[in-house]
Amino acid sequence: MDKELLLSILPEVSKPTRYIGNEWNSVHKDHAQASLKVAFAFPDTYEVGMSHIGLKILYHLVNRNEKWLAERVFAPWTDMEDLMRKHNLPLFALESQRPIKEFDLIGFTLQYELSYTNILNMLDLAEISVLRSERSESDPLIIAGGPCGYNPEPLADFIDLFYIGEAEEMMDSLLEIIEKAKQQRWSKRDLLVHLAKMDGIYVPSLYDVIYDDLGKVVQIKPNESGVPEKVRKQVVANLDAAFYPEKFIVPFMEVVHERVVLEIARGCTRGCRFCQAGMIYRPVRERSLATLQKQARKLLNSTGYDEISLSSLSTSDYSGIKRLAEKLVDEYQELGVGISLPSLRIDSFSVGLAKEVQRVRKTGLTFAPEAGTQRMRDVINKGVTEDNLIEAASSAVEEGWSSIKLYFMLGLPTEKDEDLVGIAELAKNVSRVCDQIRRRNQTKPVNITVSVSNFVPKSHTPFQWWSMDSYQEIIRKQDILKKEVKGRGLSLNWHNAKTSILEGVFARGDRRLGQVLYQAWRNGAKFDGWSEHFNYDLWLKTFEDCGLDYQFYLTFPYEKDDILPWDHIHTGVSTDYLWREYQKSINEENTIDCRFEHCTQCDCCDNLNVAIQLLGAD
Amino acid sequence: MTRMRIQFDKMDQIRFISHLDLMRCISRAIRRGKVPVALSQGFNPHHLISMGSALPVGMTSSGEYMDIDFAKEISFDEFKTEMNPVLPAGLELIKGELISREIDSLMAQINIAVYLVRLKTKLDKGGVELLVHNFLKQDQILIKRERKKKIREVDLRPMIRKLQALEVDGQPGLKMKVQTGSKGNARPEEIMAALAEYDGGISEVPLTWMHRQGLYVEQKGRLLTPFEIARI
Repeated sequence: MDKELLLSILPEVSKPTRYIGNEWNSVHKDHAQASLKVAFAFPDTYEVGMSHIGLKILYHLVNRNEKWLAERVFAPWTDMEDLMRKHNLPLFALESQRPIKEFDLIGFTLQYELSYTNILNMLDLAEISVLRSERSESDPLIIAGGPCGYNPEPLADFIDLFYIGEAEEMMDSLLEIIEKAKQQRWSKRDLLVHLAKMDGIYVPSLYDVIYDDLGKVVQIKPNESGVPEKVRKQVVANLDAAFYPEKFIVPFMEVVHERVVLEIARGCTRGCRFCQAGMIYRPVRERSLATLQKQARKLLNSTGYDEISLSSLSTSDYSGIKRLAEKLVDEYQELGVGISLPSLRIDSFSVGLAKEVQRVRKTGLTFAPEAGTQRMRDVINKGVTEDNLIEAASSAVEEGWSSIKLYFMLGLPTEKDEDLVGIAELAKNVSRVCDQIRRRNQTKPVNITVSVSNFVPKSHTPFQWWSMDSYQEIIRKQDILKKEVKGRGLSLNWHNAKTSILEGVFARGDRRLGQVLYQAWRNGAKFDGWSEHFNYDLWLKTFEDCGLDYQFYLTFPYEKDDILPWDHIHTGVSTDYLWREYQKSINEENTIDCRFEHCTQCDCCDNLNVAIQLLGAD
Repeated sequence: MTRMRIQFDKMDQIRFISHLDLMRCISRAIRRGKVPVALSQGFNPHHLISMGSALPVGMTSSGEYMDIDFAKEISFDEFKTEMNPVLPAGLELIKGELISREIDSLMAQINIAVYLVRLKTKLDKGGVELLVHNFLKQDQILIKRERKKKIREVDLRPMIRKLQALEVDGQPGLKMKVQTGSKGNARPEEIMAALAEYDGGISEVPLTWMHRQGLYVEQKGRLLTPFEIARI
């Protein structure tokens, strides 16, 4: 690639550091020596993608093999895109600055439905045909994986192969086969048929979908013999022994998260019925204290960061959390290294923990009661009471925090207006108690921020059969909240309703959405998750032009025994369990956490041949 | 505590990182190298590093400076040995000398910068020489600067010490010696814009065609390096 050209373009764009690579710990290998070249593509900006832990794992996982090389590529911001198109500069990988179409495979990370148009745009910028049916033998293999891959259908027209599950488990064997196919010059079709017979691989071209008159999927079947009807998620049985990088790339520019991230556990079985992560990452597997301490030491040394984040779906549920936090504080406090706990349970234990590990500078604390009334919290199986929240908030204020953020959702199944009023009442009660404490302690006024997102039903959850609210209904409910959540020290945030609607459509979409995605991108849609670029009217018009009713995907007229558009993707959790949970939710019944009491028969351990591992307690 | 004045390079791709990013980048390298740099007091301790004037994003330099306070005695050679394995490509430590902690900061001292600019022109070296000669004969060289949405006129002429035609990488180039810092700052890109406006024979060039060769202290008619001024 023309380095002179890049040098002359970069001074003209905002944040040129997004495109220069060469960060500390980035891996640069000789292309001539590499037997397989992988470009990991994140369909959002550099600073968003570089905060993502999955990308760090994958990058170093592939690069630890001497013969293979992995590089990174992100979605260029629109100013950079304009200049690249003007100067015919194809999308390039950061490390070598070579066009990504020279790589053997491009792997997209699917974190968010509203980044799908960026995938199309990145392929186009790379001078690769966007539609898989139009790509040739010489084009790279286009792979995708990540949480949104559990409903891969909206992307079926663009992606050659989806990887379902945790990459540590079989990335090596997958790449070995692709390497062999390259050396022995297999046709792309032969390779895909071969791969499709492996666990965890979904090749959309090898499956046919049939719809009924309503537009409901009635059949998804392989069109090639030997290709399995169900694609089974790949899961790491022993997380403690699984690969974890000893180095993180250290960006030059400020990115969303700048810290050592320790993944202390994977999976959560609290069983919140809206939560996709809580269903697709089962069962709970923890890393041992010894492993985590070793990883912390290596990562702090190799990066120079001054913060460690203890990451998991619910940090305070790690069985050895207190001991781990104490050990890390003992070892690193004097060196000025802070520890952060990104997801706290609502109780005074968690607040105490946060107090122990935080450096003097105190930011706010965040709790997620998710719903305003006990009835509503029982529906979603969020095992938290108003007393729990008041107790946690009180101890936070006692410990000196003056800013508390409360996360809620609107549009949850069976929600009534009184449940929304309940959000306001709960927040007011918390505010009142906090204010009493801070007056007694003579500390500064407490700010309570109520942040309300719009519930989006996701695939593979008990609420996958539920109808999502319409745009008008979301607006009406937001208006109720705006009226009710008022008072001194209280503030309200809400999410864009239009964005949520589109997210809802793609979250439970089928293959027919491919044409909409393609047309919307052709009409200029990109960076849909960024308010400055999101254009709702463009999307509505595109649905109309394609003759597809987007509301179908919101009302979602699927019944109990219907095949769902993602039924061929098997997470291990049985549909029977999801349906039982759905029925229990309507009856406002709770389900316990299998980690602490007995098995709740989600069947995932048996189906995936794995077991709960609570190593932190050892 | 020991203070050291250090000269370093900023080359290659790292030219695109901002002043703030550079500070964080050096601080992280210090942590990786476990170099005994002194920390500030307070809730959020940070390394005691003080930089010279910020380099525009996109420009390379072989004459950047910083003052670092160390928690214990250290020589430049020791510092360099510890830092080299942990510094990203494009940053290189050139020279360092221990200085008194009484000396003014780099920001307060530095007032002259020397730049090398690759030109976009059909003129040969002689042609450039003549053009520059006439350009500098003007009483005033007015340019417009925008700050906080207000546009004001600035006269560059008194801030230009010398413009010299030469060859940079075998192509016509210009060496600029100009005032920099709070008491008057002539940016090379402004001089290029003024030159291009004065005579169409020279065009503006991107910042990536410019290189900062050094920063100096002009004092009582003498030109001193930041090291020399510290020895006085």
